[in-house]
Amino acid sequence: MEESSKQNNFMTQEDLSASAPSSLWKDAWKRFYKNKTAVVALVVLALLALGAVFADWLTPYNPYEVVLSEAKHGPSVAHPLGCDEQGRDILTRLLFGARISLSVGFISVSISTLLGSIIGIFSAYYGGWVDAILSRIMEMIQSFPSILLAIIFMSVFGRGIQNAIIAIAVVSIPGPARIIRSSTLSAKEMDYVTSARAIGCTNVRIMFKHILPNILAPIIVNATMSVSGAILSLASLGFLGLGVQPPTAEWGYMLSDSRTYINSAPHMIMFPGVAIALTVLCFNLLGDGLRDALDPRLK
Amino acid sequence: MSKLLEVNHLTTQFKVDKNKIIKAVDNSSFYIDESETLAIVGESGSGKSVTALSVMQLVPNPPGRIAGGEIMFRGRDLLKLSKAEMRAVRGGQISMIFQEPMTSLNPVLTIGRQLTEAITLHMKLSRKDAEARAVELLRKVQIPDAEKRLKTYPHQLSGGMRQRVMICMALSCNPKILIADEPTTALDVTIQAQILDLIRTLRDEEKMAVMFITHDLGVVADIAHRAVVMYAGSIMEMGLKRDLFLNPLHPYTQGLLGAIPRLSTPRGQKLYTIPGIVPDLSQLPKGCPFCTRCDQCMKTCHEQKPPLRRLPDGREVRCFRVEGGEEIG
Amino acid sequence: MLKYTIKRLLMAIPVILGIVTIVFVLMRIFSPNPAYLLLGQRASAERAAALTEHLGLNEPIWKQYVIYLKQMLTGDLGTSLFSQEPVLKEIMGRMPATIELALFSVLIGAVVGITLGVICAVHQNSWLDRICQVGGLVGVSMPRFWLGFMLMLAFAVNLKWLPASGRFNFLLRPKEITGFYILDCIITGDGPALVSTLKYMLLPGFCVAIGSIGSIMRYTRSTMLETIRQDYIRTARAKGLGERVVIIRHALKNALIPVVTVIGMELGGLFSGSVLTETVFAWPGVGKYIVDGINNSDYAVVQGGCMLVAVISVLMNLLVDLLYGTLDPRIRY
Repeated sequence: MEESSKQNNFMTQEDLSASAPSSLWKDAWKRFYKNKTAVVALVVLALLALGAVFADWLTPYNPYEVVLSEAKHGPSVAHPLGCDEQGRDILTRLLFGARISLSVGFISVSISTLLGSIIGIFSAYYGGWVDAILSRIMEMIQSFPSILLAIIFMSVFGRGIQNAIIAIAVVSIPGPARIIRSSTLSAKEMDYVTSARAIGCTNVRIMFKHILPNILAPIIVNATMSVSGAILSLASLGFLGLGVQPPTAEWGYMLSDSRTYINSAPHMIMFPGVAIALTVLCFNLLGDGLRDALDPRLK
Repeated sequence: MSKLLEVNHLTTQFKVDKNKIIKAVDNSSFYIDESETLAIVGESGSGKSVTALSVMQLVPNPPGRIAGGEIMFRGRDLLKLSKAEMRAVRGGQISMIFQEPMTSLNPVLTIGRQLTEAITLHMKLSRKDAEARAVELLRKVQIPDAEKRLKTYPHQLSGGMRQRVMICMALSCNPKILIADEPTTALDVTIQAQILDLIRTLRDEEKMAVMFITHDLGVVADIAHRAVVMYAGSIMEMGLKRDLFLNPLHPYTQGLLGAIPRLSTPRGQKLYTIPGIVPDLSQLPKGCPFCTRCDQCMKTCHEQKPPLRRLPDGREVRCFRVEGGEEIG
Repeated sequence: MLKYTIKRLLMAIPVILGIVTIVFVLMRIFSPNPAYLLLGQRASAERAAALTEHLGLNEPIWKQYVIYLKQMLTGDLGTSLFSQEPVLKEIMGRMPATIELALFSVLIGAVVGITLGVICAVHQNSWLDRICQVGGLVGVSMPRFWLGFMLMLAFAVNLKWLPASGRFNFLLRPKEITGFYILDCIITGDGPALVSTLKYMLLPGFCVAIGSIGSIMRYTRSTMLETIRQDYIRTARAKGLGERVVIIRHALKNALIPVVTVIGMELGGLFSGSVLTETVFAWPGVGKYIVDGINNSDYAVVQGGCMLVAVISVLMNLLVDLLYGTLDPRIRY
């Protein structure tokens, strides 16, 4: 009897060293690295982010400087993507627009993921009336088509980048909240939570130290996918004239601004859309890759 | 009696990983005579179900593939038929019933629809005649209110009833061979006996040959004329039911029989079990596949795989301890 | 069936109440001065006072909420600042255009999406499957309003095959009976008008449908892949049925049941997405009405329009849920 328990101890220790947390992430990275499309998407996004950060050095043009002599000029060597109706270089404006799109995407998703995680983990962990109330509120927001909710929000609070971030964040809270609520519900039943409770951990500690790290994978995947949604929402709001204030270079607003010239200067409307579609596509591909890498069971 | 179905050197592979192939059925040969019942016995993972699926050419591909051998049925090699010719055999001349009656019927089609589609296809009957035949068949498998059942959906029937419907479906076109893949495993014991009875009665009435796949030696004793014992993809022993039960030659067969509880076993004596578990097909020992669990294992058993021998009385055994007869593979 | 329908309808009530409540919270509680928001900053003091009285803005919040709910229930969505017409009446006049376009696009989306999804599943990992997968993802990633402009550029501006925007040709205007022009043309038997109306519908219809095709195709493919691994498919093959019969009769019917839910979600999404597509194609529906409201700072219109479209997309989801019940024999009422 004694001998068998010794052997058991030995076994578990070996198991532990074989699956230490670092190798878990290393495995995920290996799986991710094998997925060529996801890697390409990551590279494209990284380049875009670099372009956005170093836009001032990368281009000789000012995104707001009006050069009427070059208005609506098509693509040329000097202006690879052409100029808009006020003679501003479109590539430059797209790079500066990437700043807005990417930062609004990241900030709003960070807010919604953070708030959603807290709401989800609280409602699953405490259950009862806390869960009932929080879940009803989440359902209410979710049943409201997000673009319409954002429109009402923006019309009450007025346009501007901060309000856009808040509007996009608020409408996307229910997504992470629901995912995290259900993963926490199942994690709650796991033995490691029972044992954490047995050694006297506080509720908050159990929630954030024990449960959260174990449900990180679905959160990360959802957040990545949400960035693409956020970028699309910002572009849609911009297109409807509810996003950032003109003349700020923003993709959706650029698109909306150039629709009058669809006959005379189609390049003006083409490139902002390509930028949006490419960014959104890359985030979707990245999300797919992360899902396959982090949690092969989710596939 | 001529041989109705003759399977020669059948090998079926599965690709489990990028460059890893396992042989679920390895160079197996057996035959079935007209109106004979052949049981194929083995533990799970022994390759018995894959053998049955190979005969029907229903092995999921990919990852499965019939890699070699021939399946002679009434003078034709089924493996050489075109897809359309094989479809005419399937359900028409050889039909099959499966282990899981709960999931083997289509949930969104009525029983009547599922029964008549094979009849209209193979017997070229009109929809109306096919329905009449379906009713007749449902009565034959002792389903009450046959006409009404045609309009019901599978979820409205119990497991035993569904298996009756499956049998009915398999018999609908007067097949020459019925392949039954553990048809009673998922059912309650009392229902099991009823279904076995039913298969036996129908077999005698229709003069069908039956290939009965099972892991249950009790069922073999009940229904079979002859049995093939499979282990890890290879045939270990073949013989008439009587011979196998009274005088098992292979240590594996002996072990299987020893593991059956009997009334004659003295009280308090521990039930015999074969030590160990079925080996992973991708990590088979080099020699005899059974050598890791055999209590009569010799040195040669670890080094080379024993050939299958046909003894003068027609029995076949794969074991170095049994001598005489001719090597057949 | 009736009992089930009533039960589902009752379940929609809290959802609709939720939508109405969110609008109330945003427009009344968070807005610094609701009367001026609705009337514009330059409104006269008397008009503001009258509206304050009408909306009960001086009452405590809970009473405001009750008054508000009563008004919503009686269909009092306020008056348009721009046209001085009741918002509900204006929306109802534009609703057929929006519904007609949404149904037309979801029809295209479902037919093309399901067909492609099945083909991809049957030929899993073939080159066609790969192209469709990538294409589907690209389709989902493109902003629909931009896609609209690209289609317009190609088919209206360059090829001149189809009209760029609007809903009808003035010379071939259908006689209005139901407001659904295709239906109206069929009722009056007006062939030329029907052809012309359909032409106007093709571009916006396809523009909206391309995104739906992507998601319906991806979903059909995955449920189909799951279905063709089921035991009953093996049974069907064991009967000797041809591959086409196995796929269409045995697999597709099972695989489609969950796809119906996705189609319902798409339909709901098309209604809310109408604010974008109708703006692109100058389609005289509710979406364009809302956007005009935004541009005129006409917030009664924005509020009422958004709320009504949200409610309709909930009801569309409900309708599809009921359809789901009739498709799956295992669901009992």
